[in-house]
Amino acid sequence: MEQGDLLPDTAKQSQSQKKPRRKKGILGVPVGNQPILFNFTSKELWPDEKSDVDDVASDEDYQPEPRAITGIKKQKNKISSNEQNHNESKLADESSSITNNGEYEPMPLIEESASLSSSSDDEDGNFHINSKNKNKKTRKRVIKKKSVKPKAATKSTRVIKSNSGQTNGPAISSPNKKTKSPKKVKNTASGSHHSHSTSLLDFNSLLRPSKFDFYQIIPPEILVSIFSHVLDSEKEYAKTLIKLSHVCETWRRLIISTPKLWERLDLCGFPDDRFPLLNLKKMQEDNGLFVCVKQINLSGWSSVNAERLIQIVANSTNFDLELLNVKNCRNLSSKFLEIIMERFPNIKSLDISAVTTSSAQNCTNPFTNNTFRPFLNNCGSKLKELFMSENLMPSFPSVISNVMEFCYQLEVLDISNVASLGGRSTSVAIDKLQNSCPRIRILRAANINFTPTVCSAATPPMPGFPFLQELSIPFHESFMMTNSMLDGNTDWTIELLTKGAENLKLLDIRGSRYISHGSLLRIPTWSMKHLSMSNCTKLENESLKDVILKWNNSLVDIDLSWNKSEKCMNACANAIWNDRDGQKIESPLRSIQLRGSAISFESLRDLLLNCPLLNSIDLQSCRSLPRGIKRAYFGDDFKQLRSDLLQGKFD
Amino acid sequence: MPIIKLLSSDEEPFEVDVDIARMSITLRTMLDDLGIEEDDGEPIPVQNVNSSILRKVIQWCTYHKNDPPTPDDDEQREKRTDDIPSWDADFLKVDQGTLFEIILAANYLDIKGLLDVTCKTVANMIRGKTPEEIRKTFNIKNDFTPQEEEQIRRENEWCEEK
Repeated sequence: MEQGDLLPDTAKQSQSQKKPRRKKGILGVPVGNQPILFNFTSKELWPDEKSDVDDVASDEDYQPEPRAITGIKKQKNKISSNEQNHNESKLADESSSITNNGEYEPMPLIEESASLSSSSDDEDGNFHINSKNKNKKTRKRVIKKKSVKPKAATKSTRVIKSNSGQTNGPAISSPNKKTKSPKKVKNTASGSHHSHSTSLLDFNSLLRPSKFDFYQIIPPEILVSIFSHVLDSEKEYAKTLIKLSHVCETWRRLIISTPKLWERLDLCGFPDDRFPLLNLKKMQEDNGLFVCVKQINLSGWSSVNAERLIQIVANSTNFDLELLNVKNCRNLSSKFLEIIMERFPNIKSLDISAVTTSSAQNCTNPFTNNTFRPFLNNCGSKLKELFMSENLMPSFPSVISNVMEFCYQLEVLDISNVASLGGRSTSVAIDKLQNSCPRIRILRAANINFTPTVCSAATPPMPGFPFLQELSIPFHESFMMTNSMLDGNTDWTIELLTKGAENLKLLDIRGSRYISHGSLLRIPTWSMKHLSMSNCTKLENESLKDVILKWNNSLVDIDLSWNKSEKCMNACANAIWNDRDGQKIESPLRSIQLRGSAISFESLRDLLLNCPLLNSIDLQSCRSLPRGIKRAYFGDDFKQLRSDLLQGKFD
Repeated sequence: MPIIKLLSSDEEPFEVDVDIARMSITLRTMLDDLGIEEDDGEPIPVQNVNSSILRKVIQWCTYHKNDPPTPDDDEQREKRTDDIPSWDADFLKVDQGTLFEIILAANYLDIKGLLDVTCKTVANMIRGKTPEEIRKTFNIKNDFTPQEEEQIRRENEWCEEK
């Protein structure tokens, strides 16, 4: 009965009749530009320290796509962490739809990236005001001393250069440099007027000599180490390298001849249809530039170009690749997994989310047993992170059983929204998973059923996930509607999944109809930070406040959207900033979603005035609230809202 | 504590603890090779490093003499670039010329910790900046005449993959 509904086409049709403009994800779930009330990816912001400005970007476990679009949004209004996450979850689908529709326009991307870099500049400025000021001072002093200093430094440089030049093979040789720039005398003041129109996405610019050059005081091997430090702190490695190569000719030559700087080949965001693969190949052939590559990120590329690039790197590499991200490279062939198997046997992290197409795949689906099983047989034991959400698999049960058979080191598993052609058995046996992958830290499984074991005295106790930090098992409304009423997680599933999870920081159970507050209270962690429980009908009663009370000292982000019980909402809002005895506490709450909930104005006002760190709130469609207040707030808007409330504007 | 004498490139003598001098791999190798354990009257010449820079280097080594040994490269990489101890940050509040000379001295004397922290300092001056701003920071001027620029442009038409 449900098989047909599961298939995207049918779902698409039924939904597009209602709202034609919505884009559909693989399961017919509406995604796209419109605000969605439900997003599937997890909401965690790691690490905890930086939750204000660029929490998600600086996060290590949760790596969002370094896409220009995200950057822009972030830059424009410093969207609240949640809003940002919403965007991010949408991004994946947006980008895929872009490529699918052929509306891909590289030009705006370039501009965006330009402004992006300037924005990161600003952020840096904020962080390093002192050092910048210091630089200004020193710059002046240097100018004064200029006539003396460089000469003095030059002498000592020469000695060291001659010492070290031999150890560093591909270092810049000075004769070469001289042929390029014979007239060193002319110090044109016009240097600063040369505007750099070359974009940071222009890979070709690496092969173009720079208009600038100057005598290098610092020897090349130290420059390399300085560049490495710069790369460590900037996220977009390839763009950063291209940027550094624009500074001057010596730097450019150093960059295109030093494989160590190219450990991370991060080409996400580069327009792949115009990517100079031949030049890349040439750089590889000339300098062996990509022999050290450890990470490749091609997310969003077309599968054809992604496979070509991987082939080029695969031919040269020394089996060192640890991370490969080909998220959203639709229509990826099974050959791709064979390349990984042969050339990258030590891979630790693989992101193959959204690589299949919903329509007939042109080539063999990489998740067929013939390809996927041998692949995991070879590489599975080393895999620590496996992302394969949003895929259409010939048989999900066989994929997941292969994962459980081989990937015993797995720490991160994302199987959200996978669909199985051979029936709707997208379910996972909890006990098997816990026994096979005991190190799971992050489990994302939106719209996946977990089958609990029947507990009896004879069965051995469940091991639980002692390292679990992030559990994201939401269900989408429309998914539920089209499927059996038995779908969805229950108190029993929650209890089994969170067994031993004393460090759980994130729980996302949106859309779970059968979960009651009791199972949440039994979760062994005391430091829950992110709790998403919108659309959970069974939670809509006053007892939910006990859940909030349990974690109100640690909760940073709460989603209570669409909770229709006014009593429940008011009790929860109150529990956020009061302890059991009604004493006020210092709530660490930063963000709360109350969209479509029944919160009363009084509770809302008290909440806003008593949570000093709160900086983002969603009040859309809240029926009990006065006119003019029902929208989402963050940043300056939020400050305004708070001061309006203080002045009694809405009373 | 045994003491040895170092002689800077401008012939200024410095008296240092052997332990501090041995933080420099270059000096340590030299002392070991020559079998020197304490001052025998003959100062050890430190070519390439002038007195003002050598003074800074000794100052840094004295402060850091009890540091645990620097970790291997791999572990080091995991550290963030802005992770510079505040004492070092203050210590490196010098003009750019001096900073570069300290780098060169640290490289010559092979003092990994000092080289690392100075490189990080320079990296902080670079990161987040546009090429133009980087050039300004390091006072890099255009060296080419318009004719040369034209020449370069023509030379490079080949690499435009259409």
